[in-house]
Parts: sequence; structure tokens; C-alpha cells
Amino acid sequence: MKKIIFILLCAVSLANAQKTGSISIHFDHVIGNEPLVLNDKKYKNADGDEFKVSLFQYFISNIRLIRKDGSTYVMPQDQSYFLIRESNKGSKTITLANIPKGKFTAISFLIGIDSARNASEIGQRKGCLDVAGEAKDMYWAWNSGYIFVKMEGTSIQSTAKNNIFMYHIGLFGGIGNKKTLNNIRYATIDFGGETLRVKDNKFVPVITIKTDASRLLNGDTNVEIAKNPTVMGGPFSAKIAENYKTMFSFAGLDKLTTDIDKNRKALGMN
Amino acid sequence: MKSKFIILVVSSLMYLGVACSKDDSQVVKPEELFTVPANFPKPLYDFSKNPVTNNGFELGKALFFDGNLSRDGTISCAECHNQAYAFTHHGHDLSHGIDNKVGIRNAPPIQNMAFQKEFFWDGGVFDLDLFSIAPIENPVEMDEKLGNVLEKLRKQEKYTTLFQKAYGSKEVTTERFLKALSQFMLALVSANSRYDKYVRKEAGGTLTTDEFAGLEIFKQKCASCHAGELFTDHSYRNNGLPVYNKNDTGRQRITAAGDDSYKFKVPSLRNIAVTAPYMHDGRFYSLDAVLNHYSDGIVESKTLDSLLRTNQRLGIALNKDEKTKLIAFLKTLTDEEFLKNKKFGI
Ligand code: HEC
Ligand code: HEC
Repeated sequence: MKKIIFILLCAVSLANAQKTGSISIHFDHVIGNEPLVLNDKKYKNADGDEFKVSLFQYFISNIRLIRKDGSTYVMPQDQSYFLIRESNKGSKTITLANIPKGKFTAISFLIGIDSARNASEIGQRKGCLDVAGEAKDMYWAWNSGYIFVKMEGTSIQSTAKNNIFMYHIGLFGGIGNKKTLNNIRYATIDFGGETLRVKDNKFVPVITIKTDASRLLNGDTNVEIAKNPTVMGGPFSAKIAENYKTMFSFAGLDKLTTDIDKNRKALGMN
Repeated sequence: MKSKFIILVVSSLMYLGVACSKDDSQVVKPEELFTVPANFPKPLYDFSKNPVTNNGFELGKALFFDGNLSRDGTISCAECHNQAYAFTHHGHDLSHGIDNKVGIRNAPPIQNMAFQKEFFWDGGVFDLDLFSIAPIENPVEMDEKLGNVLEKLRKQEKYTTLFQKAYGSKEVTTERFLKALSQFMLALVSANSRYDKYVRKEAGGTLTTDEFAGLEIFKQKCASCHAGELFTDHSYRNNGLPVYNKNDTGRQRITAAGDDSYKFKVPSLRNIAVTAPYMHDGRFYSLDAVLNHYSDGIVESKTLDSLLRTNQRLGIALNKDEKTKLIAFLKTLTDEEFLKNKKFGI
């Protein structure tokens, strides 16, 4: 009996090893053409306002990989929630496991948290969705819902106390008859003609995605920090969401060994 | 018939919950914790995700009365939600929290929560299980982080034991914590006022002539908004209060919709005689003042409810006699058994 189970287990894992692989995604945070450095570095937005960033973080979820022929692989939803924080290096590289072997040419994801999970019961909110844990500063308790993207810092142009600015963007559309703004946006990132090959677990392809935090401030609506130093909800939040939906861009594809530490070193992430 | 069926479902679910926790020492009579009163509508809370059990209720009660849920250990939920006043903050127009900080709203009663679909005066929270994070993390209420609260509880044997009893293991998680508080609040059913007994034709259910006349006036002039046995239609409306705090735009804070400005949830009127002061900001200290508002104090605005703007007149026509009768009726909504039930206190 035990033997049979053992054989079965081997068979299952063998089958898995043959059919699926893992990929990593590394998020490289920038402001325009410059690396994002918290607190110390001064930047300028399109409006000409000077600013420093003290915090930058966001959720991505509902990840899909897109094949050449347009068909998609949808990641199991429970495994596709990630909170990426500039202040936490580890969080900027995520690994997606059990991806079916194949060739992929693009990736898409939701920026923030889908409405179903925003409305879901508390038992469905584990890991990075735990409102008492990892998500504790990415959740509004008074208007139930996750904050999707959060950027804070200072600017001499800011008219708020201590010259701070705060952009906390969330709102998933509400439930039932409760209609709120819907600031859910999607990003699709094309690998620019390159192909991501998921083969086996020996080599883990790494997609590097550049996240340009300045896109919160620049875009269809160039944000004047003096006029809008704090945005959390309210109609202006939709303008910032429209801006930031373009903040992700493809920055390279690498093939690395399964040794995650080595990978980190190779990518200069340490 | 319908409500009987629900009771059955709920109690069998509760039974299941207990069966799983392997605690045979407790004699569980779930119907003592939550039943749907015969004159009530269906509950809106989904009990299948959180069946009320004796041990879950006891844990929730311990949490509700524990100052450790606040930053400096001084403010418990019960501080602002006092049983004797139907779990409101007696005598406070706006609630007073930690460091004596004052909030912007009046603490509403906690009663019949299972029959309410949205919480807060503006309905910003749509699930009771998500509610308790708000007061705990509100800087003017308890000013603590939920994660810290869980850490504090993990260090106390009292709580690891209570969690063990309620859930079968000592683990203190966000979900277990929040659901236990919900269980306590769900059990706070108030349905034994003299009015209820009158409606259900039970012993002690007699109304005086004045009270009965008041009920008739109420049905005519108030029940369009304060509807049904819970005395609310669960909608958000502007009942013509002059604006004192421009920044508190009520429902609009949640929906960002202009036509929601200065609308607030139609509150239940159960136990109304003991829950003064009244309205979202506690501006009225007596029921007389409330009725004077409806008869003479309504102010015009873009979002004023159309029901309060009829016959070329603002407000609701009420003479002195009608007011006296209305108040006599409102007082029959007091449920002494609920206010004094030892099960709900410590
Ligand atoms: C400092 C006073 C204070 C404390 C402490 C407090 N509350 Fe409240 N509570 C309020 C106020 C004020 C409101 C109404 C706020 C609003 O609508 O914006 C409220 C509303 C509520 C409601 C919504 C009721 C309804 O009908 O919408 C519930 C439920 C509730 N509180 C439960 C709790 C629990 C559980 C705790 C402890 C974790 C707690 N409260 C701690 C003051 C307090
Ligand atoms: C158009 C709908 C509407 C009608 C009609 C109406 N009310 Fe209200 N009532 C409300 C709303 C909305 C509130 C809460 C308003 C706020 O706090 O901003 C309220 C609040 C109250 C309160 C305060 C409850 C509390 O817990 O603070 C009392 C008491 C009350 N109403 C009694 C009455 C009576 C008696 C009548 C009939 C004479 C009546 N109402 C008619 C909508 C209505």
C-alpha cells in the first residue's frame, strides 16, 4: 500500500516536472529615467514640481501569461496576489510556479485587487491580503476596500502640513447598490518580440518590468502637487489611476538558474 | 414559516461548528444565542461562514469588553457601546475615544446586527466581519493596529484558552478575531419590547390608547423611511438637518456621488428612548427635539428627501397632541430584557 502511494507520488511529481515550470518577475522601480531612491533623491514632475518619495507600493493580481497565438494561461487566482514594496527588496521579485510549459510573448495583470476579493469574506484574505498583517497599510477600514497603489513623499510645492503629499488610490466599484468609483486598471506588458520559454525548473526565466512611479503624476493629467497634495478616494483618484495604468514597461528577459540568491546577485538586486 | 426554516438552518450550522471543535463539555443551546424573532425579516448576515457558538460568543464578548484592543489599554468597544443604553455612548453627542479625542459621529446602538446589510451612518462597511478593524485603527477611537492587538492576545493565556475553546486550536488569526467579535454582536438581538409582544400577541403585549394612537400616526408619517419591524428601510436619506459639519457629507464620502451629499442611513428606532442623543452627530438630546425638527426644523437643500417636501410644506405636520402620542409609542420600543440581559455583560 505504502509503496503504491510512493510510486503514485513520484509519478505525479514527475508529471509535474515535465509539464510545468516557474518564472520570476523582477520589478525595477524608477522615476522617469532615474532609479527610485527613497527619501534622499529629488525629482521633478511634468508640472515642474520638485519632490522626494518616501514610500511607493502597490498590489498586482490576477496574472495571465499570453501566448503567441493569443491564448492565455490564467494563474490560479489564490496564487496571484502580490504586494510590491519599494522598501522591501524581497517583495520586488516574485516567483510564479506551476506555469505550463510553453512560449509566452506577453503578461497582463490587474493593478490592485479585483472587486470580488475586495468584497470577499475575511477568511479569503490571507498572506499579502491580511488586513492585520502584510496589507495593514493597504486597506481602508472606513470604506471597506484595499488601497491599490500608494505613493507618499514631500514637495516644497505641497500645500499640506509639513509639505507632504499622499496618493492612496483604491476603490473597486462597491457592492450591491453601493456604487463607488471603480479605479481598477489593467496592464499588459508585451515582451517586445522576445519569447519567454517555460521549460523546466532548472532554468527560471526572469522578466524585468520597469515601474515608473512618476506616472502617477504625469500623463493625461499632469498633477500639480500644490493643488492636489493628498488624494485618497474622490473623483481625482480616477485621474491618477488613468495615469498610472501606463507605469509598467518591459525591461528585459533573462534566463537564470533556480538558485534564487544567485539570480538576485546577477540582477544586482542585493 | 420562513423564519422557522432559517432558525433550523442556522442552528444546524451552529451545531456543526461545535461538532468540529470537539468540545463535548459544553451543553450548547444555539437558539439561546441567535434566533430570528417571529416578527422579524430574514437575517442578511451569512451565518454559513461564521456560525454562532457558545464559545465563539464568549470569546467575542471578552474581546468586546477588553481595553487591550486600544493603543494604551484604556478604551474597549464597550466604552462607547454600553449595554444599559442599547450599546450606545450614553450622554455623548460625538463619541469620545482615546486621549479624550472626539470623533465626528454619534455612536449608534449595536443591536440586530444580523439584519443590517451595511454599517456606519454612511454605510461604508458592507460586512460585519470587516467592521471591527475600523474602530480599532481609528486614531480618535482606539488608535491601535490590528496586528498589535493580535500580538497582545497571543501573549495572554486567557485568550489562547478562549481561542482554543472557540476554534479548536490556540491560533490567533485575523479571521478568528474578527469573526468572534461578530458572533458576540450577532447575538445582540433585541425583539422583546412591549411593542413586539403586542405585534406577536404575547402576554404583556398591551398598548395604552395613546400608545396605540401613536403607532397609527407613526405608520402614516414616519414608516415610509423607518419601515418594517426594524424601523428602517436601510436606505440613505437627507432628513433635512441643518448642516453643522460641512465636511461630513455622509453617504457621499463613500460613493463620491453628488446626489448622496448629506444623506445618512435611516436608523432603526428600537430602544430609541434610551439611546439619546439623536442623529448622526447627536445634536438632539430628547425625542421632543427630534419631533420639533420634523415639524418645524427641516431645511431645504438639493438632496432633501422628497417625502419631507409635500403639499408645498417642508417637514411633517404634527400637532402637540400627535407628538405626545408618537413619543408614547416610541417608548414602547424599549426592550428591558435586552438592556438587562446578563448574558451580554461581564
Ligand atoms: C470611541 C468610541 C467608540 C469605540 C471605542 C468603538 N466604537 Fe463602535 N461606533 C462608534 C461610533 C461613533 C460609530 C458610528 C460611526 C460612524 O457611523 O461613522 C460606531 C459604530 C459602530 C457599529 C456600526 C453600527 C451601525 O448600526 O452601523 C458597530 C457594529 C460598532 N461600532 C462596533 C464596535 C466594536 C466591535 C468596537 C470595538 C472593536 C467599537 N465599535 C468601538 C464609537 C465607538
Ligand atoms: C424621509 C425619511 C424619514 C422620515 C419620513 C422620517 N425619518 Fe426619522 N430619520 C431619517 C434619517 C435619514 C435619520 C438619520 C438622519 C441623520 O442622522 O442625519 C432619521 C433619524 C431619526 C431619529 C434619530 C435616531 C437615532 O438613533 O439617532 C429619530 C428618533 C427619528 N428619525 C424619528 C422619526 C419619526 C418619529 C418620524 C415621523 C414623525 C420620522 N423619523 C420620519 C429619515 C426619516
